Amino acid sequence: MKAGTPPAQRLVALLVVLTLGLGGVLFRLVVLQVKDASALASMAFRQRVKDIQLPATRGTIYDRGGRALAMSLPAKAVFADPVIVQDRNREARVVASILHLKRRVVETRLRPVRMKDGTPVRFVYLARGVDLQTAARLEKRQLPGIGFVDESRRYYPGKDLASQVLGFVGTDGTGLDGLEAQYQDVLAGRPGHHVVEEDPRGAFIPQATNEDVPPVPGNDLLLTLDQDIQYQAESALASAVKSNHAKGGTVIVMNPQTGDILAMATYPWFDPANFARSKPSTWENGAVADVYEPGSVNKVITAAAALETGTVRPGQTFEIPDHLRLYDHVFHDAHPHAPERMTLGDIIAYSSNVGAITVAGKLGRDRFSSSLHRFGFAHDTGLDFPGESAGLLAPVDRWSGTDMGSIPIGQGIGVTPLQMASVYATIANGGVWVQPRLVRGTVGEDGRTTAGPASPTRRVVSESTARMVTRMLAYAVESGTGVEAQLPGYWVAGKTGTARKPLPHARGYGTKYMASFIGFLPASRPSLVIAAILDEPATVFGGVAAAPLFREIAHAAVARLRIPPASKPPLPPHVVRAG
Amino acid sequence: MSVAAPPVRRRPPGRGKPSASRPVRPNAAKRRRGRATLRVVRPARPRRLPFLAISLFVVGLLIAAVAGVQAVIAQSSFRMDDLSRQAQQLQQRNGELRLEIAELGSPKHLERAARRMGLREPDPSGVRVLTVRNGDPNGPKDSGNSPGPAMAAGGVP
Repeated sequence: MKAGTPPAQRLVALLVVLTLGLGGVLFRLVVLQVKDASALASMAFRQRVKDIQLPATRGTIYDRGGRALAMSLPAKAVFADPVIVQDRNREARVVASILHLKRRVVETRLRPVRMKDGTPVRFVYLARGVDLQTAARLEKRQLPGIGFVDESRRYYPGKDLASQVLGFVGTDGTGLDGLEAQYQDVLAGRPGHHVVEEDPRGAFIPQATNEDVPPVPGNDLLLTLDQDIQYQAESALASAVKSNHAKGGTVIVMNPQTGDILAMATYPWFDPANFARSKPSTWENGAVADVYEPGSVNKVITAAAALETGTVRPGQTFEIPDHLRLYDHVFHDAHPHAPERMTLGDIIAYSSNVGAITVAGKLGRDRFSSSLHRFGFAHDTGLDFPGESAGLLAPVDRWSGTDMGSIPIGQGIGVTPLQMASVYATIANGGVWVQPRLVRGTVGEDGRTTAGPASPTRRVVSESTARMVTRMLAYAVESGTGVEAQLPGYWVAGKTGTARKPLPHARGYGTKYMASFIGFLPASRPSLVIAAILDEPATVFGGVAAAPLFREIAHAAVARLRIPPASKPPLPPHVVRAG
Repeated sequence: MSVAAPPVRRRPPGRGKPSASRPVRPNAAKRRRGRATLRVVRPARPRRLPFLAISLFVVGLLIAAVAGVQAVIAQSSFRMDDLSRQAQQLQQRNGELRLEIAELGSPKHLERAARRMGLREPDPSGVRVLTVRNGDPNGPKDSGNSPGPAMAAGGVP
């Protein structure tokens, strides 16, 4: 303004400027306080308020004695916001040294990256499941752009013990396989959250918003497995696989009265805490998922069906040659022999293929097929385990002529080891099938135990049939093919199985075998059923390769469970080489 | 509907300034001169100082009380935060100890420890099975409860 401007005009100009200025301020004030008030207030609230997610502690899995097989502890996930990271090299060095990571990997993750739409990536995981002490050490360094999220980490105290049964969880704590996946809803719990207001330094503001929704921990799971028997079974299986130069193997130990599975393992196994480092094929629980041709252990169904239907009497004898032609196929006994008279007990004890086929021929395909179904073949066991197979059994109207030669001796059908163990459990339980189970109950947040429902049962054969078959199986161990399964002080009932493996990608059989021994003890008062199966052992016979494995597991299990010996069961009618 | 006419304001008689046309009576003037002069006396002011002081004191007291309570609440809040953090740490420690117990009690660890101490598993053939009746170790042997095959063959001492 010119110096010569009259004061009145200057005052007016000043007034106008002031009015405009104040008007602007007023306008901005109105905009902030009225128009954008709620948006700004909520923005401020968001900056102040911190919603901390509180992960629910996953339930513990216990064995039948209450010993933890899988448990979770609080942990932290460490993440980075590359936009905020200031000194990438230094921060990468510190993070890598504390978390035991490779510095280059950390440095790469700290590099600013943009998404396809150009937005910078502002969240990168650096490590998951970091224990709280380690996380606290890193937190103390106050590295810009490095943050922490609460989560939990799953631990398996027994390392690889019962790994295929327990399964494993993913990095986010969700069950991915085994019981962890099957009982995800029971174990997971419900996450909570904690809403607090914080000052710019991160200290919480007392008496401000403080909402606390505590997480609901998952229920614990009580298994039927016995940690000690599981370990003994696994140890015995591992050494049997090694000593027999086998490809693998499976063992099952169960209580025939309750259906409780005390041990279940398939070799090779894996460490569930580091499952990603193992082959996916080792994750599978072979006891319920692998389908194999059972071989001679299946003769027990042939015998039980023949007795149950009255087709064959226990004392009835048959003239048994060492081979038999059925249509275009000739079936042989394991060893050549002159035709000899045999009872059903002899056929079972000495595992005569020709004898079993002869008995099945008298039984007829319909009654035989019906028996296979009644014993649980072609149906899953009801265990509901992830990946459980129902086995392979063609409908009887699609059986070929030679099927009545192969199926009675356990070839041409596919069963799981658990299905086969259940057959023997049915005989051991007086002819009553009991659904196998792995879970006894759950323990809630309040510590209250809820027992699982009792296993469903159904009668398959009469008690007298079961008792007679038991005598035959005891005879097989006393003087038949199963002598290697004898356990000092106990009478064992069981059967050997030596099954040829079908070619994987062609019709017919190769030169590889599955050797098995399935039995129970004490024979006259069964408390344990044990299935021992070896895949492709160097010594192919079940009586040589698998029966000692059975014995070793039985020895450990009777000691662990303090099972007293019981009286000797009477021998079945027999005419061959008794004693 | 009827509309009321506005009231006509009339000056009340004897009030207001005397009109110029009204004659002043001489007797009245004489009477006024003979009386003492009247003046408006303000009422005595109540003393406000004690009231103000008391009010200030009460308000101050209230403010101090509120501030004190707030401080106590804030302190308690911080203490609660500390305690909950401490509880969390203790829970964490408890979990770690439970894990340690489970790991130390695992069969694999026990076996390794036992082997380190020179222990070994019993040989199955070296196990002596005692046969008793009705749980009485001194009772007679159950004739039906004969030993298993390996024992019969003399496999057990």
